[in-house]
Amino acid sequence: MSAYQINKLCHRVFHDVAFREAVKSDPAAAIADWPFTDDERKALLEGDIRRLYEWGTHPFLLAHFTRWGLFGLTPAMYAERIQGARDPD
Amino acid sequence: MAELVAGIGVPHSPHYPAQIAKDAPHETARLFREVKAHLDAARPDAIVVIANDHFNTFFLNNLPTFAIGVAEATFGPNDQTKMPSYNIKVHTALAEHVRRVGIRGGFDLAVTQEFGIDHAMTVPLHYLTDGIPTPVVPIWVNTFVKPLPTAQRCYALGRMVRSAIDTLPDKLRVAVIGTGSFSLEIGGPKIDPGKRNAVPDLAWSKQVHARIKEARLDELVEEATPERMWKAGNIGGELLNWIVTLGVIGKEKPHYIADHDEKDGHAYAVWRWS
Repeated sequence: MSAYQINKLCHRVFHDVAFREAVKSDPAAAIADWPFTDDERKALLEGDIRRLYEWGTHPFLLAHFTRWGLFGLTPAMYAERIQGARDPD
Repeated sequence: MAELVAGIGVPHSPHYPAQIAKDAPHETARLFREVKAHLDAARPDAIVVIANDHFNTFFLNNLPTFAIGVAEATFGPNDQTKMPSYNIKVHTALAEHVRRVGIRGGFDLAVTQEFGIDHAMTVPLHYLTDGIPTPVVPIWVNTFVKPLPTAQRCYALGRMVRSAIDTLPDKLRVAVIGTGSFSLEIGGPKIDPGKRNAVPDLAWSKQVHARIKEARLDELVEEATPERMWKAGNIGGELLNWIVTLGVIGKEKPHYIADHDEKDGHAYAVWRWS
């Protein structure tokens, strides 16, 4: 699976402040039009860092979420969920 | 003819400028000042800066392995790093020459003619100059989206950049600054509990430091495999920025290299010729 769209989302929230605010206030609505698979959408909305990483989301981009508490993620939650994640091929 | 007057290697953490004033009585600021004194004394007319982008100038929709910026000017940081914002001149003639020599020599450098630069370039320039008055030539290396270029290829790229500097007909004093960590993990499974990052492999960083100090570059290039660098963290590939820079410098021991510390996986080093 390519994580391109997830990487693109991480990149967009970093560089586009208005979009970042939208994701923060209503994550499901903000990503409704993005072409994610059902699994990807579910993992994002649940802040399932481990799966997002294992699918190939770049960790430098993925870690952006915790800067603004997006998808409910705090740095502590992120650090806990990434432990033991397998590196993608 | 142009000549290389100084080579420099330093880290580029985006957290430094907001936390550590340039004149602060802090070890990091002191080390940057130590290196800056050498750069000042070398009086460069142009600075080649070798670093990786962090998805700020480029993204996965268009990601060069090696790229060069050829424009009149640039600006930075373009990544919300908390630090002064700079407008920076680009040394267009040197940049064009490096690109031409590179492509003729088998290095198909991607080019951008309109760009900003991120913390990897602005943080070192912020600490090592007084307001970034000297024109720069940015060269980017993909050091963190797999597959990375090989260390051999990066060293050869550095040799090419050196031959470009040596063949520019203009009378020009050139410095090169390479920047990055040898061991660092950000956002991956090797981060410390409750934190955003970690230094997973201090032993490797010390080994790299020793190789640089002794100018044992054949060994360093041999050892810096993608697997070995990855073990040192997902940012460990930034060693490649140093290896390109060491290629520019050649097999010479540094004029100055700060002792390796027990916390961070990076180094501060200077080479001087005049």
